[in-house]
Amino acid sequence: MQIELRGNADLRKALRRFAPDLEKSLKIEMKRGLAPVAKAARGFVPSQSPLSNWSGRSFSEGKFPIFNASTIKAKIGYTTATSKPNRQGFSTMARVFNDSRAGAIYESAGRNGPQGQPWVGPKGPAGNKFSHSLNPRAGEQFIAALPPLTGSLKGRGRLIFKAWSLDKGRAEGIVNKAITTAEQELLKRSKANSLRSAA
Amino acid sequence: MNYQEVISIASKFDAKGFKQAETALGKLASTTKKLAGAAGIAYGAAAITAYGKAAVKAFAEDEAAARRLTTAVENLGIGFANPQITEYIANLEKSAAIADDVLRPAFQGLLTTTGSLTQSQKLLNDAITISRASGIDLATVTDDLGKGYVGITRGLIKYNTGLTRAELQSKSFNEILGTILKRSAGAAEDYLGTTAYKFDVLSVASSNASEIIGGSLVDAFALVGGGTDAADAAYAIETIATALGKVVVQSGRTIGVIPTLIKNLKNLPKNIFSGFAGKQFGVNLNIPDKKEEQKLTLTEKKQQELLAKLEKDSLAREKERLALLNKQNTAKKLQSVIDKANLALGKGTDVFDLDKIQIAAALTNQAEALGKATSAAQVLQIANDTARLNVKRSINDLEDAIASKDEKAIINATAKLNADLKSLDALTGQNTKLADIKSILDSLKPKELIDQENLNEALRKIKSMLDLLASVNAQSQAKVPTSASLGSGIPAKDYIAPVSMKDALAASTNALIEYADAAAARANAFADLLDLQNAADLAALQASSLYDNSGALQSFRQRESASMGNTIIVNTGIGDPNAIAEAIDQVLIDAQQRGTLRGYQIA
Repeated sequence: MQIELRGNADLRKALRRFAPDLEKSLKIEMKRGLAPVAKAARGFVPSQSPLSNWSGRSFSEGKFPIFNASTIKAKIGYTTATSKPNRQGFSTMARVFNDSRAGAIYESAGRNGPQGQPWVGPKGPAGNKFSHSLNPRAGEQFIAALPPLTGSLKGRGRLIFKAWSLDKGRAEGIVNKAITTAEQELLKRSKANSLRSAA
Repeated sequence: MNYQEVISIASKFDAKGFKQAETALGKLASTTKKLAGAAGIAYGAAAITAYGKAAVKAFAEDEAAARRLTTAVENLGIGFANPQITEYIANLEKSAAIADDVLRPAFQGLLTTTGSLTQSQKLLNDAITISRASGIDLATVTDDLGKGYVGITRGLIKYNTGLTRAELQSKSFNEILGTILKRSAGAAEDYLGTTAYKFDVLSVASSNASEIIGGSLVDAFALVGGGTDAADAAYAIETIATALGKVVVQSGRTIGVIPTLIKNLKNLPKNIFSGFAGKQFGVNLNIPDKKEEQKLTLTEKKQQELLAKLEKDSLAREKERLALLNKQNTAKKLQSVIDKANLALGKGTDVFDLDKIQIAAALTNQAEALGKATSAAQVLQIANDTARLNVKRSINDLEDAIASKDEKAIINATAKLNADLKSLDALTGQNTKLADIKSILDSLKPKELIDQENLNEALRKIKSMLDLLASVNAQSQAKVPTSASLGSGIPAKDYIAPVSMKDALAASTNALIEYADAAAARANAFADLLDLQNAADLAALQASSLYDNSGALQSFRQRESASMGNTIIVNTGIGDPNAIAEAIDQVLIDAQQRGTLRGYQIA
């Protein structure tokens, strides 16, 4: 029986139905590659807020997410589940994510420039593309207080991207090799004998 | 969750992109359809024009075919039957789904060939059946049947009749047609249930529609063109088409007007163009209504008489054709016989010329020579010459028969010549056979000179003598079978060497048993041979003079048999009789004491 795998979802579905052992092995192998990245990324989270006023207060009512190291660390992780296709039709086999709001700010602040977003003031046009702070240099001062961005082949950042950069492609190699191996093994099995659906 | 920071690994393209592409293609197709719809108006105008021309052409061809058939029927003198023929063609067209364009020429061909209305209809129906069964087009089948009807059956071989070419030539058309129809039975009915038949029905309907439309167009456009026939219509169509084309090129809006224009034109009187044109020139161009042609109508009785006459004439022609065919066949047969005779004649003449036999050697002289013959070689020579003379005589007889054109005489003479040539061949080949020589010599002598009964009696006596001699010889020369003459094939002093201990140990038990059986069988055979040899030796001894005459052996045997009595002869010298008696008595007593004396009582 010949099978045609189009996209990650098909491959994982085929593995899950016809070769559960391969699926399991794939997950374990991908975990072996991704877990160190996530762990390293968590290690880059400072225990204290880099800015004194970013740390939370008990009576704080601001909308800006407060820095909480444990929350940020808890929201950094990895997954080996296949994602849904994006608008362009691409899906991913595995991801390392930094899922908290404060973590995302810490990760990405300064990507558009050291000055931050354009300042429009509190009465300026609405939208998250502008700085509505009273301080016109708020963005610049905020970025300056953070550690520098670290560039990687996937983008620039301070947590997961930094960890990815320092990993020097080992994780990606492990994951890709695991996927390729699983795919080839599945095709080999399909040529050797007809596959049976797993119960 | 726009804030989520993710590193994606092993990204692949998935099906969603295809959906986007499909959507894009769908939009493109929709746009194309709209464009095509717009352009289709212009193309549609051209298509309508082309269809119009084709329809006019179809109508013209159909009309011409109908006229040809009408003329052919009128030439046969049964013009009154045209409506019935038209109806027959129309019905056949509907039932068989074959266009009248095909049926009319086919029927016309058959009608002119057979000269019979009923025969033509029958043959056309048969042709349809055969066409359905064989897949060959109706025109070809009809043509072949028409030719076959007049005796040219060569074309019928393609219908897989199973008949050879020779059979096709020798059998009548009706027989061949019967064979073909037998093989094609049911094909026409079966075809009615096929999809091809349904397509044929549609095709015929479409063709008829085209013809009808073509007829209407001819009428309409001919009036537009200022005439009445198809040429005027074609001119008008082309002119209008050219104008339409220009209009399409100039502006698509004009196309939108055309339906309205056509609708309006449709409501106008048919000959308004003529009237309009005529008024321009001050003449009346209105086409007068065609007057119905006045034809003399025949009474039904007269029609039936004409039809009967037609059939009668057809039958008469068929009879004439068959008579001519028979005459041709008879002539061919006679010619064949003559050819065979000429062949034998040529062969006989060749033999005669080669051997250079003198004709002067008359048969009577040969008979006299036979009476004087003293050796077998002379008899053979005489027989040879006589055979040659017989060949010459048969040649003369055959020439006479050919000259008289008597078929029976020719056949008999040819057979006689062949028989003589056969005898001559036998003699020439030195394969002298008593029967051949006897038959030749018998022909020389008058039959009354030979007493067959005496000859048979003599032969019987000779045969019995020969049988007697043969039996005597067989008895005298018969040999008693011996070991050498029995044909056992076993050479003298032959024996089977005993198996060595080494071989015996190496061999299997079965092999040893088999060997022992073979040795025992061979020993038994030798024993049988030895018995036979002994029996043969005994027989030879008994047959010898030593055994039969009073020789030493017999005297011995006789003496031996004599001793079998109760007399004991004791050869003693001359002595005291009492001593002798005592000695005898002592011997007997000793024997009795030993227990070896029996049957004697000693006192």
